[in-house]
Amino acid sequence: MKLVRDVLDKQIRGRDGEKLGKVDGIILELREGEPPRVAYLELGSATMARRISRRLERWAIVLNRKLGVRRPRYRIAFDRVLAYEVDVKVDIDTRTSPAFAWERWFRDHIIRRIPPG
Amino acid sequence: MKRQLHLELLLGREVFKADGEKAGRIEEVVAEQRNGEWIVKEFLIGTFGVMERFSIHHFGSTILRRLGAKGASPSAQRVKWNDLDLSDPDRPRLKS
Amino acid sequence: MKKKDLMNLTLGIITSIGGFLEVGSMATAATAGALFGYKLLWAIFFSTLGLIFLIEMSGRFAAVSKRALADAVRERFGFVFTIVPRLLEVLVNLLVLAAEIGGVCLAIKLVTGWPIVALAIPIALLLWLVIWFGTLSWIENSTAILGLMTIAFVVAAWKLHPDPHELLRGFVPSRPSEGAAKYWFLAVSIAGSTISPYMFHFYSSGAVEEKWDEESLTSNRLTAIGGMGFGCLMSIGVLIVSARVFLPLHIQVDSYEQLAVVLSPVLGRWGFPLFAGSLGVCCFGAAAELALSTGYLIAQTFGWNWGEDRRPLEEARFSATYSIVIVLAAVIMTTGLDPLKLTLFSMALTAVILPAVIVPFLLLVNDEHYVGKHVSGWIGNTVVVIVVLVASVIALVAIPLELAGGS
Repeated sequence: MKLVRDVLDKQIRGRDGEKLGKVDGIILELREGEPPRVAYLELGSATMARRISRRLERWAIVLNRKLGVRRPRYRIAFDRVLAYEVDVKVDIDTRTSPAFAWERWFRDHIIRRIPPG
Repeated sequence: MKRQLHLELLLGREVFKADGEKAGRIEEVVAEQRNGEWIVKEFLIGTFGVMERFSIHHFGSTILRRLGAKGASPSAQRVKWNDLDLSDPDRPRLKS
Repeated sequence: MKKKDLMNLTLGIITSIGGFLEVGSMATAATAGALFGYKLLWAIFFSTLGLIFLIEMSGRFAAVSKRALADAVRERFGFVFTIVPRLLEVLVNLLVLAAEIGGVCLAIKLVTGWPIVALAIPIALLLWLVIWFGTLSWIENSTAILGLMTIAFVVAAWKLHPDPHELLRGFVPSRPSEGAAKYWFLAVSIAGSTISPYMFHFYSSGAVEEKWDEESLTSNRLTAIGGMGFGCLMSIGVLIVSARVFLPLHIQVDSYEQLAVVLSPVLGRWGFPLFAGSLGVCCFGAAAELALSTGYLIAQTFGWNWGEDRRPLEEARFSATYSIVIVLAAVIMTTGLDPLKLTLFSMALTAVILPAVIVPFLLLVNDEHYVGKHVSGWIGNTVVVIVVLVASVIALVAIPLELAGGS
């Protein structure tokens, strides 16, 4: 598996096929005398922003804290990856996942209020 | 002690040889499954090699990489996981 | 032809009507005809050629790789590289969407006399309702059928008996005897209005949503040639009519109101309503396409649910995005900007950002990892590279000249 080509920046889908976000980051765990372990997928605005600059990351964290809807970053254990073909499929229930918080927020606070939502 | 590292931030980092010379940039991380875990097998370190000079496609990709795009060059050098010293992630070094 | 092929052809024709013959093509072709006769026909021809290859490529890419274009660019080149071209594209889309909404308002203004500033918000609301409640195929089919009205331009061009030798000469690029700055500015505006990046996103997203596969490749090719060829023919019609009607009178076209009478000398009292109708339908189709396309672009950058055929509740962020985009564009139009100037300017701006969009795309359709053996041929690659590079280089030179010396 080539982590950059086959995983990073790919579409993540939950068990139910819903789109959860993109693979914004991948966390490696360094271990003494052993090969690094691929530990987590990470997604969220702070992870994305960090790839551009530290300052942008700080802004993303502050903004997320103020809005209070979703965490600035969210991790999925790598052993939850079920498949990585066109999309990265993970063993997560999208509808209750914290990563889906913004989608739920928009649905409940905006879209549902527009008649006949 | 376990230390965590963001792979996406490692991309494009300049790698230095033991003598301090530049070896290339980290372009790809290859993982394999062992005992139900995914572990890093090797890193691909890219330079502007012969392949890039003679193929328009690879030349184009190289230009985009300079502009921040990800992706590995075909002439990238394979470095085993234990040959790359990541103790300072801002300055990865080849061990030998 | 199978039913599925027919459906694909509809997607092609709507992409063409919505993306090709819209306020941009009409304005650029008509202005070019009025000022330079048939001399700029080559610009329409070469940009259409590039467009046919690009549309074919985006359909093929989606069918084989099962990915929409914007998804694939982020996946292949990463977030850092993607974000700047994306921002530029969204910005240009917003300007063009404003121009299209302006075009619909103008069509209504021509008939009723109501001011654009007052019409912008109601038209934007109507557009939003259509996207919110409509399905992709419904929007496609109704625009495709109503868009056939634009054949009026070809009929009018035919009735005007243009001199075939002079016409053919127009397909060979030549330098103008006077007004060089305007000439090149119009040439790039034509290229920008023809090769619009939002069309590729719309087309490839539609192909993914309609689950095209390798069997769709033949119909994709036919669609690219047929659909875009249709749009090209209409544009040429507009240019010829405008050249025949305005050039002999030495009328300097600098507003849409002047363009509105273009069909009248040929088609009599039908001319005016047909012009207004064509303008209204085409701009409305383009506006729908732009709003959706911008929604796709943003949703595919961040990995949200998207798709015109799902209910807004199932894709709250996508629906919210295109709604906001429509509101912003309408607000731009209420400031009273001149719609013709906005159109010409945003078309030229499109030409400037083309390489940033097209180069990554070209690398993708030539990458075996995504399209296997269906990589692009050298003819298509060469044509696209030349058209895009020439257009953007001319644009970089022509836009400052136009801004400095022009109107």
